[in-house]
Amino acid sequence: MLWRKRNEYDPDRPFANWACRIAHFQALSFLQSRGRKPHISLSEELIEDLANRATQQLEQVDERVEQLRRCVAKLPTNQRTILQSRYQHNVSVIELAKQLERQPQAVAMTLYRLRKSLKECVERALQVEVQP
Amino acid sequence: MSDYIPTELRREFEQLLCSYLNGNLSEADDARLTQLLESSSEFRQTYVDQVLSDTLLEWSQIDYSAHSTTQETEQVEVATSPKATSQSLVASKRRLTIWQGGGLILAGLAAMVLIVISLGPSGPNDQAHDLADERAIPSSKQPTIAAILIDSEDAVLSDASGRLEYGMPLHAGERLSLDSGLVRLAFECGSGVTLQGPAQLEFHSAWKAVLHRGKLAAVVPEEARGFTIYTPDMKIVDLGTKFGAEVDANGQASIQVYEGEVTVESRTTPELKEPMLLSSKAKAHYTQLPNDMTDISLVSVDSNDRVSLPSLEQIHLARSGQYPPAMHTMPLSEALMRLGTRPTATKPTAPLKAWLIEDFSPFREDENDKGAVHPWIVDGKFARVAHLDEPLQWQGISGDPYVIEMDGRDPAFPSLCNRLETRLPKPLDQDFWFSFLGRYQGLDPDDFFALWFDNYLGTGISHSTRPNAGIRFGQYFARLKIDHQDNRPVTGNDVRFFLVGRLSKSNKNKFNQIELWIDPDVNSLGPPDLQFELPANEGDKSLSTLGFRMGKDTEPTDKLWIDRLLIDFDQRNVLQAPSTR
Repeated sequence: MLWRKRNEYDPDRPFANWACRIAHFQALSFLQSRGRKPHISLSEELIEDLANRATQQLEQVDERVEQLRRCVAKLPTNQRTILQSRYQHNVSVIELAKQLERQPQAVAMTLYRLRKSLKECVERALQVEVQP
Repeated sequence: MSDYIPTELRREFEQLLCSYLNGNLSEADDARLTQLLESSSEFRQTYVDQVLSDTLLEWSQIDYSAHSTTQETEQVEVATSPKATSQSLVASKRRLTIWQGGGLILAGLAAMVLIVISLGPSGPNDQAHDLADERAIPSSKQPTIAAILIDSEDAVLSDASGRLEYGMPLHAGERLSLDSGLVRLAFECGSGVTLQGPAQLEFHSAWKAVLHRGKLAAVVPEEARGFTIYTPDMKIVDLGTKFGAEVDANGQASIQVYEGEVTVESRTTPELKEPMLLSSKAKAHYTQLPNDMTDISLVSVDSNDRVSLPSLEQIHLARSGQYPPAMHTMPLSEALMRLGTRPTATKPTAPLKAWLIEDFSPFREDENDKGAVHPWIVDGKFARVAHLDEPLQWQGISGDPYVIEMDGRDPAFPSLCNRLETRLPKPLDQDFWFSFLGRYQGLDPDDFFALWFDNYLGTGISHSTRPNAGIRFGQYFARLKIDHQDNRPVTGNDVRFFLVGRLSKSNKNKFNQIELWIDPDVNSLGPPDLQFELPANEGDKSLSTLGFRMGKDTEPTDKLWIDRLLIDFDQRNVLQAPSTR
């Protein structure tokens, strides 16, 4: 997938620029992967809407990453270990499910909920930061 | 305007998005995901949130082995968890132990081992640890998923801000506090538990829980032998069986074995430490209360079962992470579109006149010929618009060939089966009449269906405490509250009927009277077959929703067909027969 481009990251460049590029690639990926399929028609509104939503979040990307680190650190060990396996060691969900002796769907749903709760944690932290 | 997204649709979207992020989305799923994204602003936001979170987690080189060592007051709550209190008698001690021990690096290195222990199915070794032992001996385990919520029936949480969402995980250390109603749970070890409020259950692990107060019943398959329920004073270890337990406000427990065997022992009195065997074939009861050997029953709404446990199908799905199964709730207009090639239009009839008219016809037009409005939500997996060769009819009253067809319950799905429901154009606040044609095929003595009126819509609501009319346990019934009803026997297993009802207010304040006519003479209605009245100060001032529910104990092959549903304030308008133009 196009957004799995960690290896292309240049540490000398500002993160926000790189992240925006990734977001842009992601939007393109979405368009290309669906747009070339004749049975699927993507509206321009959908494309624009997704791009706008992504851009809004990336406006504070440095703060988001910092808060994300803090939020991850608050997680219990077992949840951080799942994230580590998936995102640091690139273990597939199927392989992770085998290691955990669980169904892949259950592991995928665990990751989904973790991403969701981390996003909410980050949002709460950002709101606190902007309050007087 | 915010989207209304049924839970089942949300679940489907989440599963598709998971597949997308894992790179294993089929072409058909891809098309469906796009369709859902087009349909909902909330879905689009979730999509962006998930993709960006996925990107940042992978890229940002986070040290996943680093745990916050500061005293954080705010913990990250895994979404869909209830606001149930994270009771930390156990959990906080565990956290403290790890970090006080300077085990940061060790914990990181050990994490992969821990994850297998704590998230994978626990083995029988877990059974060897007593709750008291675990309190005393520092453990390195972190909160893990103990159980999954299967379904609920009119459950009210003690924490008003909490939510119950089917499929949500309940973690070790959390408490589920119910003021009333009933929830069903699948423990990760394979046991199924029903909890009836008022009750408080603390999850200790995939194998253990503490019933602080209230009533529960458990079904424990062979693989989950050793599943343990603690009460304040007692320890109940299951040996593969079905049992119930009840704890009163003083912490005193009663235990009953329905099938198989359990051992019971005291946690507080050393001289009674020797386990006592309870068996359904011999001594089936134990109680700390004097002379109290009453049966422990947990009754599902409108079910004959005295103990209503999760089905094995539900438990299996919940443990596989696929609960609740996708249900495809949809607007009725979409169900009509699914009819495909329509048979030749039937002979048009002059439109009926009534406050609410629903004939489930794709050809119906409103008075201004602007097309039909069908503002219903349909459980698309188990209900559909169907075309009958022979329309439903009674005397001169006839439906058209199009009916709503509803199936009985699939045991893998939640127990409350609201197949069709709607919010009315305006609340009903004065006496009114209703009528509909129906046919139930496959009727058994334990089957149930009802037309209900209420002020709420949503998952987990039985609507049984509001006006209902239909068939219950082999009898027509009309009620204003559960167990406040009048009945008349039904005969046969393929029953056709025309029901006419009236809801009224004896003092113009609250709907406290219901009357029902079963297959009446439409030219001379006569006295009602069933009637029930509450005190004048009980009932609702107005009613704004209605729907049809199938019972928990119906079979998937059961069919209920409904047509020509009318509501009006004039009796004549709900008895009118169609006439050709």
